[in-house]
Amino acid sequence: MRTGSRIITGAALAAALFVAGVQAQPVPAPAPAAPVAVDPAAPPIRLRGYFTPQTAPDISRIIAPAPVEGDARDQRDRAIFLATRALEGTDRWRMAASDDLLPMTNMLANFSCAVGAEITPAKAPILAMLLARVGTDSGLANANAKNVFRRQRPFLRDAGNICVAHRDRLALSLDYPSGHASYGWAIGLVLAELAPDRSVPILARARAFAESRAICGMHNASSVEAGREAGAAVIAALHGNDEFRADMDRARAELAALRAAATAPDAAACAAETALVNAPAYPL
Amino acid sequence: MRSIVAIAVSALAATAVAAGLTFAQPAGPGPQTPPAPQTPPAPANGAAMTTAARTPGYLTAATAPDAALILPPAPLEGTERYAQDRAIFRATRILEGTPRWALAQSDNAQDARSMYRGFACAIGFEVTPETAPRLTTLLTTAYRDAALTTINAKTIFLRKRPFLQDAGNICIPRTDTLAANPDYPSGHATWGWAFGLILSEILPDRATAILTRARSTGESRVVCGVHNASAIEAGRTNGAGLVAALRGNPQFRADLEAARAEITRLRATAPVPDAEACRAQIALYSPTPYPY
Repeated sequence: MRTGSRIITGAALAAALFVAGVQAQPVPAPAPAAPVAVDPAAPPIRLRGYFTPQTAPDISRIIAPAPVEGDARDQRDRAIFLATRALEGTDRWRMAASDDLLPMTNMLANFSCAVGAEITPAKAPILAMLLARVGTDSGLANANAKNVFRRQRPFLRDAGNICVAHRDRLALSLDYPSGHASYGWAIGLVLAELAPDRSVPILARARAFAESRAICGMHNASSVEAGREAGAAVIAALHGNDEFRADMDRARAELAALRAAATAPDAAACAAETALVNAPAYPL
Repeated sequence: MRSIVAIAVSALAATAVAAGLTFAQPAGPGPQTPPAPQTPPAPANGAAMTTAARTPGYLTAATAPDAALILPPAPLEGTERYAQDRAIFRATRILEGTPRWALAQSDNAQDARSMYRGFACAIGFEVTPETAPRLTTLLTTAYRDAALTTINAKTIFLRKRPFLQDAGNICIPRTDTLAANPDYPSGHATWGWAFGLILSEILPDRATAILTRARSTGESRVVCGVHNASAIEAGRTNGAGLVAALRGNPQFRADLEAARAEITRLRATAPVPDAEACRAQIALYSPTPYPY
């Protein structure tokens, strides 16, 4: 993987560097030699996105504002956070912990059951690069909106465990809208377009990916919903970009070839995942 | 279960047209190149759409995403969200007679001409079925897919519309057909969001304005009193999934490129809406009319 073509090298970088895509950080120029280990506390280093600051949609104007303390939506958010703490130790909790990890290898693995083929950055370098760049666009657009709404994360207000260890770093970032939910829904929309015959399992998985944030305790449920809107807005605006559409066409061909040749993911593991995806996440 | 659903779908299909779920053909010189017809929807799982006369969209019953499997389920009685929906319905009745109520009334129409007019300030120039026949064909065709995916999910969730549960006026006439058409997800919110996503792709520099307007068309349904707030959120999720599936369709992508070229040409010459009127309209629809 590291000695292949420039594209494959790029995908390796994307996989190794795309560590934490939801922080408001300037985009550094071409990435230096990459630490391969996944360190969720590492500062984000990002690939260039497709948007310029002028073409990125202003998510803060598109989505509904964050709940106000004490209103019905805020109360529902709190109730969901408190109720879902009981999920600690369950398979759904473990799925939420896995959905936290943004390295491309993990993201693609988590959508493999839904697509019906094992996808890795090595097997799908064009797709991996495209999704990494979407992550940059989605992350920055989302971070701008977070800074407008400035809502606190739920675990800073109510007591309860969350599904990941890096609590301290998270405490510095904001809740609304959820960057993971936005990016996860954006990935679902891209994959559903590229494999439309699998759109239902892909979009269901993307919805569950977003819900993982509330289950994990990282985000309020309202932020998950707003994240889906942000993700859809980013993907719509990206489709107005010629380079993005050209990359989508290349990724479409790549994924079709991969699916024709790829091994199907483990059937039992996928059945278990589907059951988790289809179960209502929090009926509150 | 499935056979009951099939019966319900067929009843709904009969009422959907009267309930405002058709995207009317444009008046005047219509679309010149209708998309290649696709295979009519085939029955799936014994519970497919029984709309024998369904005009094909881009998708079929087999390829339209099944929203019932994608969306979170409709709120259940006894949950906070269910209570919140009811509280929002009751609280927003006070908007009757206000300009926001009038906007909700005008947002009820889903034909292309009305939608273009409703989005004119967000688009930034005047679009009509006559000046944009390719785009109109695309939207008219995609609308049928929106109706298909929405009706299927509504029939699974079977949530009642809010005005059937709590007392209060709504902004459009109460009809039996409206009452027979369930709440979740909102068809108007599905289509309003999908319409906005498609237009944003064609006019990406206007995406913020267009999607703000698209969000407000869904909110208009809550102001109107015909939908619960949760059905609006579900509609946006559904609309985004629909557009992803549409983009997976080669005919849709080809038609979109034709529409993009058409709108790029049109933009250079089309009249611009009155700036002052637009300032007032944008101020009216940009804030959310209820606390979600």
